[in-house]
Amino acid sequence: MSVTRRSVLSLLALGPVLAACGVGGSSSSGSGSQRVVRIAYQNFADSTLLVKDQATLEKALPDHKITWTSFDSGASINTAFLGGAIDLAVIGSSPTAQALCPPLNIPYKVIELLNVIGDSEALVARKASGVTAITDLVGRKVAAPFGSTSHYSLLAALQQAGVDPGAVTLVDLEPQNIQAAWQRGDIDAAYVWTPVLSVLQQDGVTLTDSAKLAAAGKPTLTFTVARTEFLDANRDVVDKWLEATNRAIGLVKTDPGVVAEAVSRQIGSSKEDAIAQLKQNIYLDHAEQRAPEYFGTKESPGKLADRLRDAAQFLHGQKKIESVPELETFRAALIAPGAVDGK
Amino acid sequence: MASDATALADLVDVEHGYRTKAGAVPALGPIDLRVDPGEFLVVVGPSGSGKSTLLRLIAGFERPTAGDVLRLGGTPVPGRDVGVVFQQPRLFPWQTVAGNIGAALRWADVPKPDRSRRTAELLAAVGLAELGPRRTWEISGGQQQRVAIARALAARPKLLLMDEPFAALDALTRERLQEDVRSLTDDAGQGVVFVTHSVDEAVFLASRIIVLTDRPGRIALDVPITLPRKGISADELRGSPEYAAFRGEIAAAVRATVS
Amino acid sequence: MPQALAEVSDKPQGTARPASRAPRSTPAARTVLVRAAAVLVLLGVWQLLALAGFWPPVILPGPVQVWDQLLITSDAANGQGGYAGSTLLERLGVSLRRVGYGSAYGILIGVVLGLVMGLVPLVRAVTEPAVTFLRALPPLAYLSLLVIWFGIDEEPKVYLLMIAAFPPVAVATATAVTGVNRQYVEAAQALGASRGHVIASVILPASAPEIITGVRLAVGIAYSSVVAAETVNGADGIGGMVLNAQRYNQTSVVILGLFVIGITGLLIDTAIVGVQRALSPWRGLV
Ligand SMILES: Nc1ncnc2c1ncn2[C@@H]1O[C@H](COP(=O)(O)OP(=O)(O)O)[C@@H](O)[C@H]1O
Ligand SMILES: [Mg+2]
Repeated sequence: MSVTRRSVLSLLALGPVLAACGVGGSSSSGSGSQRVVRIAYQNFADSTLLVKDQATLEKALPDHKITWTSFDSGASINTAFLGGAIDLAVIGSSPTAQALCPPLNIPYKVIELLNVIGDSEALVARKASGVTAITDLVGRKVAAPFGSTSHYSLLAALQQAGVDPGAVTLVDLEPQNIQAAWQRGDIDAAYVWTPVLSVLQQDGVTLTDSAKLAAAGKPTLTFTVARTEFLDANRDVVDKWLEATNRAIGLVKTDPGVVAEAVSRQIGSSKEDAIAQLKQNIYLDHAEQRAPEYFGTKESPGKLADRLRDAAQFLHGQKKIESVPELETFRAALIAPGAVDGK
Repeated sequence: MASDATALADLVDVEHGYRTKAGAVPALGPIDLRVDPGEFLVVVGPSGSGKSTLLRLIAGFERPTAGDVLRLGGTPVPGRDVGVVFQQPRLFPWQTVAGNIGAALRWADVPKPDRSRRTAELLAAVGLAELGPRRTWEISGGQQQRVAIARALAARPKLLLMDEPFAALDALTRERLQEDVRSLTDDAGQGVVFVTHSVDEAVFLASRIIVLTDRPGRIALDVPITLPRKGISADELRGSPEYAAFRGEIAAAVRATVS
Repeated sequence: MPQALAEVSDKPQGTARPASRAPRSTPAARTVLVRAAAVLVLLGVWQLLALAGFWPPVILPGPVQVWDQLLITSDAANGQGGYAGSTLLERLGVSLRRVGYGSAYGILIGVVLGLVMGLVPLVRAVTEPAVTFLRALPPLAYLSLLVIWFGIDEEPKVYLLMIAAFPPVAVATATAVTGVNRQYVEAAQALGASRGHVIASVILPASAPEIITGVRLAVGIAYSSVVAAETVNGADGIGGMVLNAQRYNQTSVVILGLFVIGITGLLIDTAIVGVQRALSPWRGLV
């Protein structure tokens, strides 16, 4: 489950985004009789698709006009935020970290942790390559879709194992091309997500996965973020959203079939695939999200800010951001769910 | 019949028609015609009488729908034993003037070292010695047609076919070219078949004239032209009473074909 | 009276002449001036729009920011070796090499196939639908197949560009060959030219202007496909830079990359037009 999956086509998407930005700023100010809520989502299996599918928000807010727009990457969602074209978004930790740093400095807040990427993304080596540990990757060709959560996790895994990324030949490939290159024996290992991952695992050795990296303090996460101005003016809307998503997160654990049906309807996959994909991630309800590992409480902030700052530091190493702000900046951008209404 | 082998062109019972959407269109014949070395045969006839068709049959661009066409005793195919000058010069614009002649010499298997000398000779023969490096569109229509004649003569063909080559030129240029063509083609072994609709041109050039009837063309008149040509200027020839007599005879024959 | 008439009739000529002659004397210089002025005006409008701040600079950087990126990404000693490990010039070289090979193979195949298509109607009937089919496919759609067949090194990129480049050349060549004036062919045949001579010395040169128009299209298509080609292990090219920058909202780098692609594409096209003029100066004259 990547949050920054990309496509060349998103370059083309810049045009409409620009156009949307030109008029976007005014439509959320809510001066008219009908307030507008503009939600950006991405087409991967997640509990938020249940909220969209069941129109939970639309029913809870009958006097609001709710629009759902599908984006294909966190980068394009950030672009839309810069133009003030959206209010709420489902977005990954890496683009979120980037957005909170200069030069983007996007005024939005992280209001919820939708999932922690688990074993749906993993580092696999071809059995024929003889690689059995991350340290064996020195001098080998390892593929990942650059700029994705898998790319981030691959570099984190190398760092953790004490392997210099410069000693490994990193190859930028789309998942379907990773599969093709793997079958030809052109690459020795790859960090990639399902469904390609499952194919590679049939004749591969899993060296690590994102669940293990998360346990070791290098998680890749999916958030809900809210435009600060929107959040301040529309607490009621945000509360309804949190209520709906918390219920959906609960349902993933208690009644995954219902969520999977909604997901399969929304992204056009089979129900079985949807269940398999949902199960590969880790879901935490709002109470669990307030644990010290994540949001924590107002009095003792959790480790989530540190995780975001880690991601920012990684981006800075890649020269993708200008500088890494102090931890306080990241803490200020986090609002624990359930704490919004003062609990 | 031994003389048959030496005939430049021999047409026996030849008919030719074109297939069109509206059905078969008879264009020429039946016609019998023999062209011998040293002959300057001019074909005169109204438009559409099959003059071009006759030349295309001899050149080998068309096969007759009936009868036999022989050239130098064999079935005609376009090649270097026949020179063709068309109404449009058809010079290759991607070549210079000299390049056009050079290509013809190359296709005639003239060895490379000889080609530039032969090119210069041919250009000089048509009075264009200086124009070799020019592009084909940078010279006048008359000069272009001279290059086309030089190009057609490059392989020293036994038979030269010319289809209204001067029709698009002004009267003055035309007369000058007529004079040049006579002097370029008085090689005794060579023969010329020259198509025109100008009676003046025909009488001035020909050693023999045939007049074709209206479509489908048949031979309405076949006369030898016996005019004194040696030691007489072109103007004197055009002004002679014999010339006027032939002119009158041919013109009457042509008029009869269209009435 | 005659004098008055002369004066009257002279007047319009006298006023018209200097006005119409001045531009005619230096049309090339004038064109360059007009173009330069147009570019300057566009740059000015762009800078003003950027300064006006309708959009944040991260979405619409101004020309100055893009220029800064040009300097930064050209600097090998800036701590990231230009941009993500390669300077702009290195990237341009890498991508031009790919486009060069892809276009060269594409043109070669296109001319040969187009020639056969134009000369043999049966071949044309069979291959034309296939060529048109290939032409309609978006390169990204068959990229994975190229990876399966040719791996992840230079081959899939060069072959992708080749497949993108050859159809316009094949179609242009086939059309040109079919349209060659029969009169030139007959003239050559009557001069003793063999079939080979006719093809090499008449059909090809007569078709050259249209073939080169096909080549212009082909090189343009190949160049615009370089971003797609470099999604396969092509992070070292100019398209790879655009892709990478776009993933991280580095809009000024994206715009820089697009400008570099656009301007070099324009220069290449100008060069091809020059070759076309040199090879077929008779175009439009005969
Ligand atoms: N390629 C062709 N297809 C059909 N009809 C033709 C073709 N060429 C000539 N014709 C017809 O054949 C007849 C003779 O044509 P042509 O030999 O060109 O006559 P001329 O040269 O005496 O004017 C005309 O009626 C003409 O329309
Ligand atoms: Mg004719």
